[in-house]
Formats: sequence, structure tokens, C-alpha cells
Amino acid sequence: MVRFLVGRVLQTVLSMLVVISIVFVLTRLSGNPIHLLLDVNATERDQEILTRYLGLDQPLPVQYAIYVKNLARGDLGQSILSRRPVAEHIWERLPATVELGFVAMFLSVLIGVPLGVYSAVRRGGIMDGAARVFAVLGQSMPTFWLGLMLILFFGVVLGLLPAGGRGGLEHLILPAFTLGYFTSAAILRLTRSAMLEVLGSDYIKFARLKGLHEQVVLWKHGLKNALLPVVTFAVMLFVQFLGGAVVTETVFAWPGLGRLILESITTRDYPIVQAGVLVLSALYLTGNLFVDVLYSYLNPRIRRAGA
Amino acid sequence: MEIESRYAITIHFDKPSVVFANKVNQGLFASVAFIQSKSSIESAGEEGAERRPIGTGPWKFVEHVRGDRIVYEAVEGHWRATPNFKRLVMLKVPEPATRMAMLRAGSVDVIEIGGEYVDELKKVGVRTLTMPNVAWVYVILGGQWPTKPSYDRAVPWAQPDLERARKVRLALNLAVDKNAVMQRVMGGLGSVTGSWLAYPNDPWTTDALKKPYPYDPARAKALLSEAGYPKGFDVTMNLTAWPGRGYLPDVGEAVATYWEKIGIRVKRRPVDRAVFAADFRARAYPGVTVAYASPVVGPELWDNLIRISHSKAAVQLFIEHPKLDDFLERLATEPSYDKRVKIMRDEMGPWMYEYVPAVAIGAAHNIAAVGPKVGDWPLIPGHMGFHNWEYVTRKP
Repeated sequence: MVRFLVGRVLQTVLSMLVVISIVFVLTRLSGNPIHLLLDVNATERDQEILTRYLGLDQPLPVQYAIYVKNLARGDLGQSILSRRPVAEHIWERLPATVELGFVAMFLSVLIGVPLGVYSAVRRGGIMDGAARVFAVLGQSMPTFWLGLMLILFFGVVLGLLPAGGRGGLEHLILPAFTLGYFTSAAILRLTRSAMLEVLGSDYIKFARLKGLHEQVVLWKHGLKNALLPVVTFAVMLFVQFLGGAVVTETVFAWPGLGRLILESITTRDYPIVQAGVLVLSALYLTGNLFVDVLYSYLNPRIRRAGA
Repeated sequence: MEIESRYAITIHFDKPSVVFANKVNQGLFASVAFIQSKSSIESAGEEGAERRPIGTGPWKFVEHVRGDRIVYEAVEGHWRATPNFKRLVMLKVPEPATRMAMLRAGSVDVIEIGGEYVDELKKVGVRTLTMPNVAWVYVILGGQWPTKPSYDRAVPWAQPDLERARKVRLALNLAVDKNAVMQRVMGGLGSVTGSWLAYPNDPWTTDALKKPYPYDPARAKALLSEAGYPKGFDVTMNLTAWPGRGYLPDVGEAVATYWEKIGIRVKRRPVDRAVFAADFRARAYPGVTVAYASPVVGPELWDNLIRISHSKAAVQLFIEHPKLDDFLERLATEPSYDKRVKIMRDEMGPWMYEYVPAVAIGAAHNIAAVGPKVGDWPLIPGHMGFHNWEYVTRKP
């Protein structure tokens, strides 16, 4: 188990280094930010001064070495645009993204799991069919379109919920549902198939033979085992939400990390792009690591294979 | 420079500098120098002063949540005007459909929106305000800088044979139905005109200069043949959006489609402005065309041209020509306004009209959509952004 863990941690660190390097190079291939910072009438001399001030006159390997050295000290650098520490920008936006991601994940599980269980138990029935239509719609409707439709209906026509922006709980409902609908559909299908497998197993038959109440059979014995892949999937979902919510954040004017990265790409603010991708990669890889550790703890075969 | 008193300085120039007044005036135009509070910067430091700016206007800065909002509060009893609304909150909402929904839902009172949404707004009964003549739309024909190393004599509209080059440029104009572009692409928000970078109400714009180049594709084809291109030629059209001018890629696409009808083969290239900005500075785009909207950056036509077209300018967004340089230098050093108007109206304007430097579309307007709380809002023609917030009245 220890060897397995050490191996996975080393793999994670190596993956992070590769991600950092790729992002570093790609951001610099996208164009020079000084052309966006300078007034249209700035002279060549002005360009030289700003380039030197931002450290962009250094050869790429030197810039990379400085960047990695600063990273090792926990310094994410300064925004080219605002000249404020990048960490400040990230911390400003991360709470909004975590908030949205958490509520979206909660809604996904709240909708997907019960519907998945019900669909498995009532397999072949009308409700099973309806749940599967719900799932197909969720996985085929574009997030952008769904978000706008929800805004129009609940925000404009009914006037029940805010049309955009961040505020109280009521501001979270529409964007969280928009973000979570796709994944609730995935969770529904995953739960359904896991439940079907579990309900067909011998220990469930035995539980029923013992005379246990059907609800106890389903929720205590059945779901407990069916939930393992669902829980691990939900953890990965949450991490994905943190970085993959750009479309939802844009449609709902939600000031999250995804939008910050997108805006920084547009303005060639390299340090923020690098730091943003670094943070998201770290979260994703850590989430992956956590899931692997959880699996190996719960599944002795994986532990023995790693030993 | 001499300091005369606490509030007066005298600056001496070796020749008249008409542009200087615009540079230091805290006015409506770009490239101005804003006067800062010395004590604020000394006490808070540059960074602190930047994070909590102060000024002498009728709105007081409250907070800036990056990527989300900027909040101001009205200054009671301000010497110029006390705003009619207590707070002014600028929200960042990137998606136009969301902005419209928020306006209709009453979450916001004013939105910035493009001309392509005018019909939709009218259908749902939303009121719009027009900011007239905020930019001049044209298609840049890149490569017209014969003294620069990147000059390419093979570019049809910039070739050394001036007569043939002019025929090509004129053909490129005659091939485009500018009225259709203005109506369909820009939502009718503007006026088609031939007066290069000058607006219909400017004193240096005569009726003759306002007359747009007509839509005449047959004559355009004939001119191309006369210029030696009976089978057309290849050209690249960059499709680049600029802040506040999101319609430009559509304008470029529309123009490209018209050119194709007269036999020109157009390669479309969507390009981010950060990438293209470097080419502007380096004059590195011969043979490339791009739809552009030149904003009003000074009160007079030449003030704009001298920044984007003089042979010594940092960028080239128009044409380089010794005659144009001469006009601009005369204008920049002529202290008499009436004489400057005369030069622009009687000499420079007609010369540019005859020269046909680019593909003229015309003067563009901006619109704002407003909610039921907003009453009267006096806007200044020529100013692209939202302004005069302190004069917005509240509807009863």
C-alpha cells in the first residue's frame, strides 16, 4: 500500500511538471501581451521598456527557470495587466467557483441517485423510461442553450429567480442546475446500472429471503455497494466543475475561476493563465489520487496488486 | 516649462502644437493625461492609490471586485451635479443574451448592446438610446507604405503604378453594397458616407465628400480588367473583433462575399487582435485586408489620422503618403481653427476622396438599452463609451 501511494504521488508530481511546462510554452505562443497593454501610439522605445519591465525580454529558458524557481517558493507571480499578485486574483475568484461547483455537484447527486435507484427498481416501467429520457436530454442539451432558456423562463417570464450575477442563494439555483444537469444525467445512468448489477447479486437475494423490508434491502444493502463508483465519479465531477464551468460562468455572469482564465487568455495575462491551469491541474490530479487511494482501500485486489 | 503659480504653468514649444491641448485635457477622448492627487499617491503609494482611486467627479469609488463589479456612490452636493441615483454599479456580464434578460427582468437598468439586437429589443418594448457617430468603419487595405521594408509591390492596390492601384481600390469600393452592410450587419446604426474618417455633421464634411462611392459591381469588374486583373486576384481578409466593435468580423465577412462576386478570391482568417496588433505596429500585413472601426480620439479629423496614418506614426491603419503627411503636419501646427477647417474641407478631404485609400463604409453609432427607471440621459455625440451618468434622470 505504501509503495502504491508513493508511486501515485510521484506520478502526480511529474504530471504537474508536464502540465506547467506545456502551459508555459503555449501561452507564450499565443501572442505578446504588450500590444494589448500599450496605447496605439506607443513608440518602439515604449515597447522595449515595457517588455523589459515585464521580464519578457529574457530568453524563454530563462523565463521558465525563473517561473519554476518562484513556484517552488510558492510565488505565482504578478498579473501582467493589474500588477497585483496572481494569488490574489485566484483567491478572489476561487470561492465563487467552489460555491457553484459544490452546489452543482450536490444537485447532481440529489437528482441523479434517487432517480437512478428508482429507475433500476422499476426497470422497464414508465418511470424508468421517463428517467432515461431525462438522462438523454441532460447529456445532449448544450449547456449554453439550457442556461439561456432557464434565464428566459425563470428570470424574465416568471420573474422568480435572478437572471444572472452572483449574490444570495437564489442566484445559485439556475447556474448550479445548468451545470449539474449534464452530470445528474450521468450519475442517474451510472447509479441505475450499478443498482441493476447489485440487485441481481446473491447477497441481495439472501437479504430478501431473510425477510428484510424491501426499503432496507434497497437503501441499506443495495445502494451502499452500488454507490462506490458513484461517489468516486462525484468527486471527479466536483473537480471538473471547478475548471470546466466557463460556459456556465459566462452565461450567468458568475465571477469564477474558469472565466478568469478565459479572460486572461484573451488579454495574454500569462501568469494568471499559468497559475489558473496549475491550480486546476493540482485539484484534478489530487482528486484522481484521492479516488485511487479510496479504491485501493476499499478494494483489496488493487491494494495487493500495488504491494 | 515654467511654473507661474500654484495653478498655472507655461509650456513653450518651438512650433505650435495643436494636439497638446487634447493630451492634457481631462476630456472625452483617448490618450489623455489624467491629473492625480499628489497627497493620495504620497500617502497610499502608487498601488494603494490605484486600488482606491479618488477624483473630483460626482461619483465616489466604493469597491472593485475584479471580474464582477465596480461600485460608486453619488457625491451629495457636488459642485457640478449631484447624481439622481445613490449608487452606480457596473456589472461585468459578457454574454449579450444574459444582459438583455437581466434588463428585461429588472436586475439592471442599462446595458451595452450591439446594433444587431435592435429589432429584438424593439419587439419586447425595450427603449434604446443612440450614441451617434462614435466610430468610422472602413476596410483597411494593407500594404500602402512604400517607404517601409515590408512594402510589397505585388499587392494590387499598393503597386507602384499609381493609376492601376487606384483602379483596384475603386473597384473594391464599387463592388460592395454599403447600404446593405450598414442595414443588415450593423442594424442600421450608422450612415454610409464617403467622407474618410469624418462625420456627416462635421464642419469639414461637404455634401460632395459625404456622397458614398456607389454600388456598381459591373463597373468594379471592368476596372479590375483595366487594371490588369480580369480574373481577379487572391486576398486575405482578417476577421478581428475590437472592444466595443464586435460587428467588425461580420462586416469583413460581408465585404469578402461582395468581392467574391467580382472574381476576387478571399481567404478568411479569424485573428485575435492581440496577435494582429503586432502586425499593425510593424506594418507587417501587406496584401491583408481587415474591417476596422476607428474611434473618435480627438475633436478634429486630423487628430485621429496623425496617429494612424502619418509615415512616422507608431501604427499604420490607413495609408502612408507624402501628401497626407504634409496635410497632417500643416494641421498640427496651424493655430487657427478656421484655417484648419478650410484645409480639411477644401484640400485634404477632396484629395482623400479622389485617392480612395480604403473601402469606405461610414459612420457608426452605438446604442444602449435602458430600463423603466431611466429617464432623460444627455449623451455627447462622438463619445463611444457610456458617460454623463450624473445627468441621468429618474423616471417617476
